[in-house]
Amino acid sequence: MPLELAEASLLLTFFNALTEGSTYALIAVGYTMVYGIVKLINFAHGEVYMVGAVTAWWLFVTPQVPLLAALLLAMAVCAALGLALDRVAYRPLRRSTRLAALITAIGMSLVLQTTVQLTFGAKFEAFPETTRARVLVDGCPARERPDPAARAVVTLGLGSQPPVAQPAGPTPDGWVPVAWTVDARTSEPGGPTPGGPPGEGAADAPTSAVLWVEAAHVRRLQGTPPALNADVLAGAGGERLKLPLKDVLIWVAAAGMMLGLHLLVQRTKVGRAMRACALDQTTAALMGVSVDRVIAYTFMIGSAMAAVAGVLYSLKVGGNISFRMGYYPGVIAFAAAVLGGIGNLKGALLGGMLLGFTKAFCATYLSSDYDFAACFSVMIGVIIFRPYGLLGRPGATRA
Amino acid sequence: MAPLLELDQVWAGYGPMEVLRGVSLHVAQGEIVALIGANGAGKTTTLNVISNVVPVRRGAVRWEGAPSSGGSIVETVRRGIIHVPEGRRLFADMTIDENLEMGAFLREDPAGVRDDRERMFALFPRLKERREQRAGSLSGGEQQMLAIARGLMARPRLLLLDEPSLGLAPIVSQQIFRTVRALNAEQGVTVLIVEQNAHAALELAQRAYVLETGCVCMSGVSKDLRDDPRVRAAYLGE
Ligand SMILES: Nc1ncnc2c1ncn2[C@@H]1O[C@H](COP(=O)(O)OP(=O)(O)OP(=O)(O)O)[C@@H](O)[C@H]1O
Ligand SMILES: [Mg+2]
Repeated sequence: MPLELAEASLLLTFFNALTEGSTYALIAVGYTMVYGIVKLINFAHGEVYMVGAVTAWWLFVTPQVPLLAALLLAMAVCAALGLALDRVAYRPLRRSTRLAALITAIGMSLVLQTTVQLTFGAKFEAFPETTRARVLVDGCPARERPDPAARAVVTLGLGSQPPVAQPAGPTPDGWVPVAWTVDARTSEPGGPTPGGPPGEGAADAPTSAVLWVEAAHVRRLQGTPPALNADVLAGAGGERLKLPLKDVLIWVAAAGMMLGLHLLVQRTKVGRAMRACALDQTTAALMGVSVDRVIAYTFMIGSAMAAVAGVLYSLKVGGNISFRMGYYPGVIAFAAAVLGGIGNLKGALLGGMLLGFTKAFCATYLSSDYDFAACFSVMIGVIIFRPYGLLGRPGATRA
Repeated sequence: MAPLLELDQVWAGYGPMEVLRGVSLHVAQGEIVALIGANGAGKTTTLNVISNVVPVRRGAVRWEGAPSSGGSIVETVRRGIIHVPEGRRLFADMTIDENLEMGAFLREDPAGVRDDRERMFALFPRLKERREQRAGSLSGGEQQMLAIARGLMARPRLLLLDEPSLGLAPIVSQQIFRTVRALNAEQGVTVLIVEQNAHAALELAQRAYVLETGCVCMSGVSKDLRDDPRVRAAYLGE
């Protein structure tokens, strides 16, 4: 049974929201764990996410390391980076004012961005696999089309500037038109009517559009979809909606890592030491806990989780890898940590999900111009009524 | 033979303030020694210096004759110096069991730790009934019991107790003093105790030091101090 576009769009938005939310939660955990123990906002944490993505991308593309190995290596690189950040930038300032550490954090962030820019350039890169299924609607880049069909395509995350192709047979650079019928009921009343593609009567079909797809991937849209690009098929070709595997990968990774972290913190000796340090460092030391070592572990764990977020999210969206990519996710994840209750792991998950849903639904149903604004509005709204965040307690940051 | 712990002309303080001005004292293996003095005299600071929470500015702290100041807090814990801090400082969000586990953090013998925990529960049965409860939800007296039990979980060689009876009902503080005496007699734990209640302290300890604005102004066998007119006037309220 074909899904109607409105349903498909809702579902896809929901999937996107879960994906964004998982990504933010994975990053937010790093902010919140470090804050919980050191009472420091590690503003370079967004850059750790960026370094994770860049590292895995480089490993995958240049020495052609298998993807899983690239992911694991990126985690290791980021863990080492987190450790180095703590050693070089934060530990020497542990007894000075918080402002000093904050300024250092911003400085480290700039150092990391610049280093990556100088090393890898300023282009936007992508994992090869994800760039191939680029789609045009009626020969226009999908993002510029104001109708629901185009919006659905944008929702699919396929709007990354494809080359403009002529709507007549395969183009020299390998683009093929694929007819795509859209149920009229999904058009918004009074909304702009999409123009039919040349050579097709716009009268009989309620709405129709042409997707331009790279030749190698036509089959994916017409018949048996490969799992990884199945999200393309929502609403297209009358296919049943399939679970988008790359999204599922992020959800599973996020859920698994959050659960693992929860068990680590609640059930193991290291976790108990972390909680003890978060509550009262001096007393933890009086029990024999090496506080500096616990802080180092905290930086390493948070950084490795940010690496996972960076790699998997880039794998999904494609074309986002650059030295600047850490800024917005970093800021949103920070907001998520604050609104969930900074220092609180469940709060990071809750805050990340809340902002992921806010961003995805705002992008689909309002405008993607305002998605970040919507996130910050939600955060401010929550903080006004719950100054310590959703799950935070005033005592939680007390020494 | 060198005493277990020795402070030799120790100076320490916070920022521009000198709190300890040449404190000298010693504690021998197996003793209970009390440290008494007015509020702000520097008793807590003395214990903090011993456990490396506060650095020594001048002078030396020696453990079994070897210098021990200047290192980390954890090093003192490794030596067996266990500091039960003023105001209990429990991990309020952790359960009683977890607090006891924290006390045994450096120990590598799970079976021994388990035995010791049962021993603590035998010593303080009230804790056993509440072992899954958050430490923060205990009453003041129960919290103090837990703070001491947590310290004992480390198998201390020297137990530093900072005002263990603070805010407790007389019955409860007596119980705590009895426990300390029993630990000393039966397990040979050496104790340096800071106490507001000079009566109780001089009763419990074999020797005592009287601290006044950062200096040891009197010291000696408890019985002699109890009979000293100055101590009677200043600390025993007579
Ligand atoms: N962390 C600190 N920073 C600055 N000054 C401190 C600090 N801790 C203690 N002081 C000061 O050092 C002096 C001695 O404090 P200390 O806690 O050692 O006294 P005490 O003998 O334990 O008193 P009490 O019986 O009230 O516990 C006091 O004047 C106190 O104000
Ligand atoms: Mg004191």
